[in-house]
Amino acid sequence: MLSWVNVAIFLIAGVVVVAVGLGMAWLLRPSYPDPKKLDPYECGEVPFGDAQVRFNIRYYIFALIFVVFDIESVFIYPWAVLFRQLGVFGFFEMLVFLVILVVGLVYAWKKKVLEWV
Amino acid sequence: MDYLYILPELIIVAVALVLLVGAALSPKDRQGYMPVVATAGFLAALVAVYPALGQETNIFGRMITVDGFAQFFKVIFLIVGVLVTLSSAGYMSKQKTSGGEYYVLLMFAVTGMIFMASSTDLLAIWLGLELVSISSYILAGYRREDPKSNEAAIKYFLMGAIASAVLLFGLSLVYGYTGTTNLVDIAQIETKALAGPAVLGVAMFMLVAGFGFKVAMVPFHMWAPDAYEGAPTPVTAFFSIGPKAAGLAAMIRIFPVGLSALTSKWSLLFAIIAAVTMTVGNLTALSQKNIKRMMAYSSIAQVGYITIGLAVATAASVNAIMFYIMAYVFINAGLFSMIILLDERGIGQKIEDYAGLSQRAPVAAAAMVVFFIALIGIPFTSGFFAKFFIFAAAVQSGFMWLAIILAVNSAISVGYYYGVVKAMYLDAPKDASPVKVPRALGAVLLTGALATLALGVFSEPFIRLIGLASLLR
Repeated sequence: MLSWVNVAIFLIAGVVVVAVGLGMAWLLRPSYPDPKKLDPYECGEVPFGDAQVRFNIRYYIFALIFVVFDIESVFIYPWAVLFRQLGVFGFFEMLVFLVILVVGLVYAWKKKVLEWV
Repeated sequence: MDYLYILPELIIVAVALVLLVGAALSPKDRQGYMPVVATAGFLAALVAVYPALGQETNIFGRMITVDGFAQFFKVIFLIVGVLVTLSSAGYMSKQKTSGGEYYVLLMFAVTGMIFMASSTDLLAIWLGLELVSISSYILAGYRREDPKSNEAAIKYFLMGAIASAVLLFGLSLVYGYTGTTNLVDIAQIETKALAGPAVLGVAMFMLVAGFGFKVAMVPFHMWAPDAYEGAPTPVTAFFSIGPKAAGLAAMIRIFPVGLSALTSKWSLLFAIIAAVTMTVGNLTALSQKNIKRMMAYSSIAQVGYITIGLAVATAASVNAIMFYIMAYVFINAGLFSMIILLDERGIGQKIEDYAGLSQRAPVAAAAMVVFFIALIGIPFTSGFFAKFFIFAAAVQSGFMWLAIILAVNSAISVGYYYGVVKAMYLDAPKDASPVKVPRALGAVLLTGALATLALGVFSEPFIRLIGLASLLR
């Protein structure tokens, strides 16, 4: 039961810290709005057009290929941390895993998925 | 070493990966080796099952179980792989889309099926199910240029994704309440502790709905006829035997074994679903003109018969389900080999296209009659014993009303199977030229017919085999 009280305290503390920070800033900061400042922030670029556009279907395939590398990094980091304990078996196990992922990449490459036509 | 126990799975995955690279590297017109390699892979995996036969152990942190039940289904699924590959070769080589990925997806689907039948962990079962499902969605839409195939894939995918989500939610509720995903541990929790809360009742409904979709039980069957009709015909053959059998195997692991404490609840649910599924499947099949749609409804009805076994949930009924699945795999694989042939030759998918087939391909027509007789459940075929065991198990456990509905439904099913037989034997063909059966399809046809007769006449050794592999004692 006590552990849940801890969770509740953290939850409340988290909300309070953020609320106090934002609230203080809101109270203290000067307010001089102008159209440039009110623009949505897009990495410093001047925004143009509508955000609700159709995206090229090719982005979808790129996203799928990205999953290959994503999964790779998710598993390789913990594996690298425990590399010494896992020993030779762990090394070959990861090798097999990587080969399977590389097969996927080779397939995509040969099917000309990586070319933007 | 745990890996020796999953040698068959490792072989299939390795062959599939090699084929995937092959599909990318070799041009479409030089991929004739693919079905040969795939068949060899399945056969090698079948041989690799042998060393682990008769052993019982748990591997990979009790995620996967090695027992008779798992080995039984492993063998069945590998045979499904061989039969479907053999019946696909001719059909796929005539498609515009490259054929290589087809065999890769088929092998991945079979791997998923094996994991579904051999795991005792809810998450591992779900993972296997997803491997089967995702491969199946792509297989359904394999004829990219055909709008019907696209429709089949989209329908199957959208409804399948919802079913997967519902199933996963159900599994998470079971985990949330019991604190474990291991079915053996769940089975050991006392009845009182499990039967009380409504949460588990809700979870149970979700599991039934999720699996019910995957094996096409009424009212979760809506996708089946469209997916069966639109998918390439060999894929339809695969759908009607592969994922269905795997879903039923997983259901046996989850309901009668894992959630045995809740038997009184799901037993009635399955009994009602069985009665509705049989009746809806058979009555709708009566009015079908397309043979693939007719077989879709027929397979819905067959799942209805099998669901009686789940409702009864005794050792006898679970064994009956195993016999039923074994019989059904050979019947449908054989029957579909002819549907594939007629579709491949451009003769058609309508029942009227089968007119006069007894003159155009006498042996094949006779074999088809054997399969229809088996599907109805007439003696001297495997279908008779399959239905008889289910019937007997139901009567023994006081499900007399279900047994009667089963018998009535078998009688109804004569109506539509006879329609095809009548077309083949009594109607005059539009074009009397003989239909030559190619070797691979002929082999599937012959295997199916011989197995159907063998299981019907010499069923004794197979029954003893199932007794050894039985999950409930």
